[in-house]
Amino acid sequence: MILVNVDSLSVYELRTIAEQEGIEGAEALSREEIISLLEERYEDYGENADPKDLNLRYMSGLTDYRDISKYVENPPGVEELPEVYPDTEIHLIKKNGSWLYAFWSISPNDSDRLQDGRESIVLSVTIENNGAREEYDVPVSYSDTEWNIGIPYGRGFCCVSLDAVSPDGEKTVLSVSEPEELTDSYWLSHPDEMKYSDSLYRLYLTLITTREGDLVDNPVVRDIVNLFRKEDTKDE
Amino acid sequence: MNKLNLILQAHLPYVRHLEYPKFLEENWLFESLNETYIPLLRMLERLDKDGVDFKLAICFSPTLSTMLTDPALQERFVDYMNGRIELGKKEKKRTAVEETECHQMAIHYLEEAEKNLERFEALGRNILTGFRELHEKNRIELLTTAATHAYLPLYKNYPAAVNAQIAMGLKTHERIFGESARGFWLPDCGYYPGLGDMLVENGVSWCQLASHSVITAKDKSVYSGYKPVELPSGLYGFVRDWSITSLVWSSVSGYPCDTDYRDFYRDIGYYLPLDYVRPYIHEPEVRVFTGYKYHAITGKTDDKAYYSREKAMEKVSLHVDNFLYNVKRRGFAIGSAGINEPIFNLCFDAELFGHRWYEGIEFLEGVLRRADSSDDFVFTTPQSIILENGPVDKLRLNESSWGEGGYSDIWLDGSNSWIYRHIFKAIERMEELTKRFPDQGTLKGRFLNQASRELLLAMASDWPCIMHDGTSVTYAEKRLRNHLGSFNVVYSAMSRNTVNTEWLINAERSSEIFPDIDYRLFESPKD
Repeated sequence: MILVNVDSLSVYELRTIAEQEGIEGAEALSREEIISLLEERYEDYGENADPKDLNLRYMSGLTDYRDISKYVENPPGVEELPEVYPDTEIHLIKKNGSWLYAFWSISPNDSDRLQDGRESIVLSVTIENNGAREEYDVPVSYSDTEWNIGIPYGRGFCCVSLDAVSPDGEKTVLSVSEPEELTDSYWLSHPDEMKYSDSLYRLYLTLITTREGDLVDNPVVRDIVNLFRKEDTKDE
Repeated sequence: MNKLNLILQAHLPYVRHLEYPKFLEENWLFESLNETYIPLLRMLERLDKDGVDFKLAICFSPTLSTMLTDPALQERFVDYMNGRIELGKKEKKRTAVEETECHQMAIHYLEEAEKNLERFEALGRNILTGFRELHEKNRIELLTTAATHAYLPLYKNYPAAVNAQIAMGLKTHERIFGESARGFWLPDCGYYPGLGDMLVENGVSWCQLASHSVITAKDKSVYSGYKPVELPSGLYGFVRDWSITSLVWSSVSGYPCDTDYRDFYRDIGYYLPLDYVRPYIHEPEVRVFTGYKYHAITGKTDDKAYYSREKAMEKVSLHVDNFLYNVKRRGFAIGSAGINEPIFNLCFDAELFGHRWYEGIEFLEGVLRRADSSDDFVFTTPQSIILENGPVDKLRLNESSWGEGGYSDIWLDGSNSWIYRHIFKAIERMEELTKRFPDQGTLKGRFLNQASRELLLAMASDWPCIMHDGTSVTYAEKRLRNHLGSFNVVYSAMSRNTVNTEWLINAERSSEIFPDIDYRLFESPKD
């Protein structure tokens, strides 16, 4: 869970996270209230995490609860990793269907030059979804190095660039990320077909539902199943 | 007829620290050998000898198969087993007069350890030869995975690095097993659009896929994962059946949670007097698992009941029946939806059986035996299914994995996101080195080969996964920093057009993996 940027997320993004975390009524809460509730929620996770969960990968089974890391010998070290690299660049990677993670670095040379020229930095976000393009800028500081970006489902992509903005408002692109594809699901874009696909829907559920009726852990699946259920209710 | 594809993945990260007389994390390999890999082999050999008609697919990751064929680690495993046998003999005597409820199990553990060591020695200390024999008898399909089990979706912007993981995985498999693998286990079921093309170019014909990949696909599925998926590249995908695997895998209701089964955590290494267990734990006085465990899960209580092998075996029998009953029931439901002979793809970490779930090997044996004596089930392999040339679902899929939430959240969270800054830079620099030094032989070539070895090891999915789980974080971080630091040694030296010979010899000695690596694997396809 990426917590580092909770303070810097928009209210819209915070509400989305709150919904995903099962916080009810997030629509009516202020930004500060949502952050406070999310922090409480994350603390709970830390305290209540069951280290003996069989679902943890095998590696955890070997190592959890031993608390022996302090005794582990140091493998022979070679070199410390550098704090910064001499390049200005930005990367964008997909965390899940709703969030991308951007991180960047500004070379010491670029940083000095831009700050001498009193230029500011923005993270420029472009999302193209089903032919519609949305663009917005997020002001960032010279000490910022990462950001989480909320994305919709759909056919399209998101990409980000790191831009310098001069005092008179002129933008210069410093680095552009590779585009990341949005999650494009047939059923999310064809809810109209759902009412004719009852037996197929049941077949899907057969593969992804446990004996106890629990769905496989995936937000897109949950959204699709909710749409199917909505269609079912319409029929009634 | 219900077709079952049992696909086991045996994987451990590359851990080899000969610079220490004993190294704690090497026990990951030794425990898995004694509790999973050798018992699994012995069980499969037993089935073969008894004429049971069974099939399954097993992936031995390149890091694991390298360790399994490493003479130094084999020697250390023999030492480990001798220690276990020595402790077993002491336990046999101790439990004859105290804690007598444990006596039968003490004998059982001792006998099993002796049989495992005997089989290990009989195979020339290389258990893979045993699995290979079963493969030659057409019982097992052997497959491979990424060179160091890198979680590939996070590297999709670096096709050369992904290709290096695929190519080195296949090359290692070929070197160790003497033939090419057609199946490729996607580490953690991590798939992204475009990955299939690279796999096909490397001669792979199939992979496994996460269970939710079909319902969330870009196209409408007809068979819902009960027939193979054909990806745009022509690669076949076998979709993990969550419904059936969760009968075993669920942390809430899976069979391994049964209270009569043996408890994984209560081990004499932790509760018998230090003087007694000292020779079998970690120096100086770090209590660790010894493998001698005498209690049943019992429930959420510290007051654990003594384990009864008889009771546990009765439960295994019930669970085998229940498992096959559930498959049959699902088969009826799927058949009534018009899909005949559905294929159930059951993908598991191999180490779950025997090591984590002590009775897991007996469970697998029971399932394979009973399925063979029934007309309702047949165990098969993905390659056999492909050769049948039956119906397929042509689909374009989204990015997916079998991790929490179905995407990359495990390998990219607040605990581990910092690593990608360094790994991506190292990949870019490796690509740069291949461009600057396209044809280096001898010493410089070896130096560059070592850089690519270090980079592959840094890309292993195990390090971010351990950081996410918060388990052996110190070790994972040190390993990662060490590999990237080593990579930087080469990069800095080659930037000055020099080779640090002494460093190179030490580095090659400490990671004897991928002896046939060629740094040009990292040539960027854009060049």
